[in-house]
Amino acid sequence: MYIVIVGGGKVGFYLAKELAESHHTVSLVEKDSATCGEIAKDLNNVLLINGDGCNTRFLDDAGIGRADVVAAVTGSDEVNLMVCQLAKQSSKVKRTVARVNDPKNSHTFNEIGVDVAVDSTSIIAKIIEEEVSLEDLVTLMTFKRGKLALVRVDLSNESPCVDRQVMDIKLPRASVLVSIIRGEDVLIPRGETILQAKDDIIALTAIENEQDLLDVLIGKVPKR
Amino acid sequence: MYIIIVGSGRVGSELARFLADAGHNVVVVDKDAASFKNLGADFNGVTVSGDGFDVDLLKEAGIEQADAFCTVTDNDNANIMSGQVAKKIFHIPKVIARVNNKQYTHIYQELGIDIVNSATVLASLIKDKLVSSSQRKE
Repeated sequence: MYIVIVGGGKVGFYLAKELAESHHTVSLVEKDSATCGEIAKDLNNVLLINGDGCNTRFLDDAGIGRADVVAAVTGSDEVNLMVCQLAKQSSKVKRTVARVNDPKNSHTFNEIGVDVAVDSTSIIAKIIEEEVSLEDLVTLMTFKRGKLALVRVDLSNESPCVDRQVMDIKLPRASVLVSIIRGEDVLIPRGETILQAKDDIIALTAIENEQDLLDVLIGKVPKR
Repeated sequence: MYIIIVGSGRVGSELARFLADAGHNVVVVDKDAASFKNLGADFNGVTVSGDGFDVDLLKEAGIEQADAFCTVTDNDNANIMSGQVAKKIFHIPKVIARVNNKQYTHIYQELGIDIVNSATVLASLIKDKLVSSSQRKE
C-alpha cells in the first residue's frame, strides 16, 4: 500500500518505521526542518517531505494522488482534521485515519467525516487504568468503536470452569473463547478442551456481556 | 440575533463590539482569556475561554440557541474545524469563517461555510479607494 503520514513526532516516526518495515511505501510529511533532519538519520526507506501537511503542495510532493491511506498523526487536532479533509476532497483518498489528541474531539471527527479516528489519549488512559486496577478481566482491544472487546481472563484455582470441558461451559450470548494461553503454549479451544487453573483465556465479547462472561469464567462478581 | 464569535483578536473583538452595539446577543470564545481585554471594558456580551471547536464548551456558550456563528481566529485549521462543528453538529443556519490562506477557499465552500478572506477583502477595498480617488482627479 501507499501510505502518506502527516506528523513526524513520536507517533508518526514509529508508524512510518513500522509500515516501511512491513514493505509498504511510506511518505512522511513533517513541518519542522530540525525534526526532519533527525528522522532522516534513522529512516532511509521513507520519502520525507519537509513542509506543512495542510498545504496541498506538500501533500502532492508526498504523492497523495496515489495514496491508498492518509494518516494524520500530529499533536494538533485541527491540523489532523484538515489534512484528512484535504486528502478526501482534493485527492479522493479512500481511507483517512486521524489521531485524536483531545478525547472531546473524538465525536467531532467521526461526525465530520474522518474514516477512522484513533483517540490516543483515551486508549493510553484505558490501558494504564487496566494495568493499575489489577482486575481479573483485561480488555486487550476494542472494535466497532467500543462495542466489541477482546479480553483476557486469568483463571484462578477457584474458577468454576477449571477441569471442565469448553462444551460444558455456558457462555453468555455474543461471547466466544478465542484462545487459551497455557504456560508457553497457545491452544485453540475446542469443545473437548479441558480448562485448567492458571490458564489465560482470550475471549471476544460484546461489551455489555463482559460482566456475564467474567461471572461464568471466574465465578464471582468483582468489586468495582 | 444570538451570535457566537470564535476569536477575540483584532478581527473578532472589533466584530463583537459592532454586533453588541447593534443590540445583538454576543458570546465571544477564545483560547486565551487574556485576549478578552481587546473587547474593551464596556463590552456587554459574554466571554468564554477555550477551544472554538470544543463541543461541550460551545454548548456552554449557548450554541444550541445561536442564530449565527463566526469563526475569525488567525488559524485557518481551527476556523475550518470550528465552522464544521457549528454547521454539521449544531446545524447553525449561518456560519461564517475567516480564511487567511486562499488555498482553503474551495474547501470551505465545499463544506457549505461562508468565507471571508481578509487579505482579498482588504486588497479590494484599497484598490477601490485608489480607483475612486484617481477618478475624482480626472
